[in-house]
Amino acid sequence: MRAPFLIPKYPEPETYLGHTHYCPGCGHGILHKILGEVIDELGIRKKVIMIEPIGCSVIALNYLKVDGIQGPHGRAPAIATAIKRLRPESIVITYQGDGDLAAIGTNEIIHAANRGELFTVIFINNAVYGMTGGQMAPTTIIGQKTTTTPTGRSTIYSGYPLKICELLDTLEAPVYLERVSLHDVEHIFKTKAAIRKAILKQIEKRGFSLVEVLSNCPTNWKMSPEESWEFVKNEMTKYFPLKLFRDK
Amino acid sequence: MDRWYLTGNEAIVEGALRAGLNAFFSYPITPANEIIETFAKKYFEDRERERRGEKPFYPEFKVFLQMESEIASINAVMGGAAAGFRVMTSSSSPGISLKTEGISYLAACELPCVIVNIMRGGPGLGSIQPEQSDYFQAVKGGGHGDYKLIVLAPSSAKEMFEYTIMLFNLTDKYRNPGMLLADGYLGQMKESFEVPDVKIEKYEKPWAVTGMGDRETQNVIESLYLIPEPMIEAKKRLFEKYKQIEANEVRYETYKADDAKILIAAYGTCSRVAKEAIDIARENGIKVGLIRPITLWPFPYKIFVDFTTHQVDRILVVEMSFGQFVEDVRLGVEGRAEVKLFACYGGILPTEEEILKKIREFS
Amino acid sequence: MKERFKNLLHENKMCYRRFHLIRPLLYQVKILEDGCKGCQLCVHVCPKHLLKLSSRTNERGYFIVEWEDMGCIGCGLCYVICPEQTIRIYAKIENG
Repeated sequence: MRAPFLIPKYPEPETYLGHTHYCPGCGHGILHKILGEVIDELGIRKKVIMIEPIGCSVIALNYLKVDGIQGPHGRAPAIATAIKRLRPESIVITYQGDGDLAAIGTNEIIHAANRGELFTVIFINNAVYGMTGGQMAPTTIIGQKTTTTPTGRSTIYSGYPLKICELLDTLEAPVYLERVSLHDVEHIFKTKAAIRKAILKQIEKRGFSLVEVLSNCPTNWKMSPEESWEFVKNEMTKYFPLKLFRDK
Repeated sequence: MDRWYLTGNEAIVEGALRAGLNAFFSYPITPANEIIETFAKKYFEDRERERRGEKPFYPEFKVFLQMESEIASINAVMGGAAAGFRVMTSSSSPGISLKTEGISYLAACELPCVIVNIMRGGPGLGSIQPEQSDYFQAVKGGGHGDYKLIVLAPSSAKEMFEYTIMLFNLTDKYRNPGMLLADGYLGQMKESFEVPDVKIEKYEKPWAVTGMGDRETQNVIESLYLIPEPMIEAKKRLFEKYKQIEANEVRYETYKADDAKILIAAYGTCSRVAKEAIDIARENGIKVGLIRPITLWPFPYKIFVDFTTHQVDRILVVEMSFGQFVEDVRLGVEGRAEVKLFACYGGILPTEEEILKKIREFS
Repeated sequence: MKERFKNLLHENKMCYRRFHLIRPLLYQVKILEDGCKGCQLCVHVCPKHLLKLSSRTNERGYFIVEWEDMGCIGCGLCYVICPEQTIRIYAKIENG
């Protein structure tokens, strides 16, 4: 009996090559994989310029084989503005975490969105600062315990969680704003479709697009990967409803 | 040979456009407002010409954007430089403080760009009067980490034009950010000058982030090293580069210094006043001369060593701050001569009579 | 013949999807062991419970997941959810 003939079900990935330093079960791995698949399917790997954030994914370009630059904390939209205006034929994608975009970078993202810059922002929101050990983020939900809110986030001391998609929805210029999640396979497919639509908005030169992706942090939430996805599904979606805000 | 009648700020704009500037990102601040306004005028005039179907005057000047803050401007400069273009930003002292994080990143990532600092009174919000109190910030650091900026100090509108082009050439050649250190007088003063013929050098940038295109390897501009060995390699590379610049690119000017017993050391506007004072002093028989550093980094230590070894035993430093440039002069002199400081600050320019009085006291 | 078929598949990536609509009945799942981190997301998502954490470790020290060949339907849920892209799914055509 000869060896069976094996036909692969999925094409071998070109952009995302796995073997990462991320914690087991981290949403970054799934999001990198989806981004790599969209880039492969659209055939744009040779035109993509990606801007890495400061955070756990500060070395994302070790795993995604495209050109890119590592910018200061929160300033990726300003860098992307310059690159896209000077090289309009390239596809510029910024990949930002919740500290990067919603804490130090609120100025840059609001003005870049307001000018209607033609790049795509992928905003991965996991309600803590992962790389530095689990401190409170602007998107930490009320009652969530972090290392700088050991008794749970309270509105008296720290205000309310920031809802970035809702904030940017008040501006005229953005053309595509959606919030998605990665907590089960159905939503992973929806995230992939959202990222694909966002990048197509850039290719068709329609305007600014942002996809907010709810993700987990099993290490700093002190949960197993499976429990952390349950937390995203049950608790985070109460404050951050999954919906399509704008699709012009 | 053309003759132009321009303010210093306008001369910077002309110099940058002559050097083939591709993008300008900035934020308004007094006394550098004229730079961003002149660029805006020229940019939108060209867009009007294109709309009418005529060729633009400056086809390489592709992007002009007034950003939302100084910090966004320096980061946009970082993006433009990473993409392989000639980019510039302009600001004044409080704005340069905001930019120092970006300047540190630019130096670490080895990205060429030009940053214009039209100095004004400080610290804090200070005043809108000119001063020369950003010397330490420009030459000794400002941002964190071990790095150096190539710093040029003009002293007239013609030199604002010439040194801007020179700075684009030097920064592209060595892949290092550079700063043009002027003050409010030079920015606002209107002078006529003959347009000099400055060579414009262009360099290839195979390291630029352009999208992989035909390349097999990715170009990533990074400055994070998580383990010591690559960090040591990167810093050694930076230091070799700085040594090369120090060996090859020192520039200075001397004025009537060949038989001088007293020297004046000054840069920028103070050097022009000092030249007048030296003329008057020479008429009265005092043998005094001027050393004017053109590159503040790399600093011309060697010329100070040469002069003070045999010829000169007194140096009067004239600067518009309470004593920053004087420390580098003392380093160069190494105790061989007596160094006195004539500090003029708050926005007041030293006059020739005051400098003459100090020379007489010193001689 | 095999090589021409493989080249055809490689050039036209949509062939993968169209071919698998014919639903061949046998599937094989391979786990690239040095990439697996034992997060067990695939274990929880498999509808036929064919994946489980083994007692073996890989070079990086993680306990890896292993697959049991007992009626895999090739749904691909494990492939979609794996963050490290260490799962490969093949349709199996027996020879002989």
